[in-house]
Amino acid sequence: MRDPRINFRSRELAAVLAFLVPGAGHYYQGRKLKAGIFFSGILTLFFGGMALADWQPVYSRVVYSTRPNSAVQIDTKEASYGSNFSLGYAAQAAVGLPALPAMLQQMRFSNDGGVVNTLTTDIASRFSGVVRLNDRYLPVSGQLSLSPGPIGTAQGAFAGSTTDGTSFRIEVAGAVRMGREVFGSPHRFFMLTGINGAEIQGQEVLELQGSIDRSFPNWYQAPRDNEELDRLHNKLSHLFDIGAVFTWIAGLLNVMAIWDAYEGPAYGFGDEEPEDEDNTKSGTRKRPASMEQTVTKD
Amino acid sequence: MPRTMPALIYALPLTAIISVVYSATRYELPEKIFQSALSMFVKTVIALAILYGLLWYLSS
Repeated sequence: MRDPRINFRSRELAAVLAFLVPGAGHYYQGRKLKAGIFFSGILTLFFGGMALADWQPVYSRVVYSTRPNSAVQIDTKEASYGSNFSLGYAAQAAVGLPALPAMLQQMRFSNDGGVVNTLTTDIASRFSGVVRLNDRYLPVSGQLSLSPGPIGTAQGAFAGSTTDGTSFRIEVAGAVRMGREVFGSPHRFFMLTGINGAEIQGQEVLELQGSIDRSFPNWYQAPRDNEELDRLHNKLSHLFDIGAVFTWIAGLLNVMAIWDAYEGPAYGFGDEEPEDEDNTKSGTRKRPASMEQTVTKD
Repeated sequence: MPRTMPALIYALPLTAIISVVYSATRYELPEKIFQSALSMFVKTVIALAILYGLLWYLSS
């Protein structure tokens, strides 16, 4: 039974507000202490979990890759391969607005055309990967700057260093191939083939293959594949799981907070007198005198 | 044992937040909320410590 001392205002609106932003429904009802508890507690748990898991524990779908090295280059539309709803997201979604970008990213991911073979805008990004020389692959990292060239090609410069610390700067031009635009990884597959005229350590550079940065709006809460999850576990170990659990629990706690905004506290106001033997037998609970008066007046 | 300690540390803030938020959904009075939350936190931490001690004993 709802306690008459609580002003619920519009309970439906309060529940919707409580879903969208933890504590907002209670603030609307004037229950400011509870609003503060839910807002700070639930959002601290949610964003604390996000930070622990490198801001990547929230995603609505997982794609199951079967081909080697497909994690960074899924080259077909989503409908072409199997993907499963992430059960964890069912809990995370209850946090409301902070977890809703995953739904938007799901739509963007589904409409994404896959691998990009044409550069339409300039790229200036970190690059990490390998260069293919005549007789070997050489691990390198550095800054890549490219502009669109004739159809399917790009041209620009790569300034980087090898693992032994040797710095170099080469002019590159060739056919470009990049991983899909929207994907749940900050690393985007990148490949430049058919390079001519560039040299490192006296050998001709034939190809660049590795990853560039994917912009934050294109990876945050976006669907990813099992290989990306493996990479996260490899990088973060148990912290990724702990962070994910934090975000799940934050969502589940907000379910209770939403119900509290709609129906009031589950055990009562908190000033009820302890049950005596008679009350226990009859199954009734004594209300405080202040509440009895309120009920009588109504 | 030292390798597992850092992970266990995360149980403390998690338990604290769960206790406060859960208690806030059970009662309306601030003093009752915090009294209930403190009680729940202490009981949960003790239960976790006993469970951890038992598992540590069985695995040592």
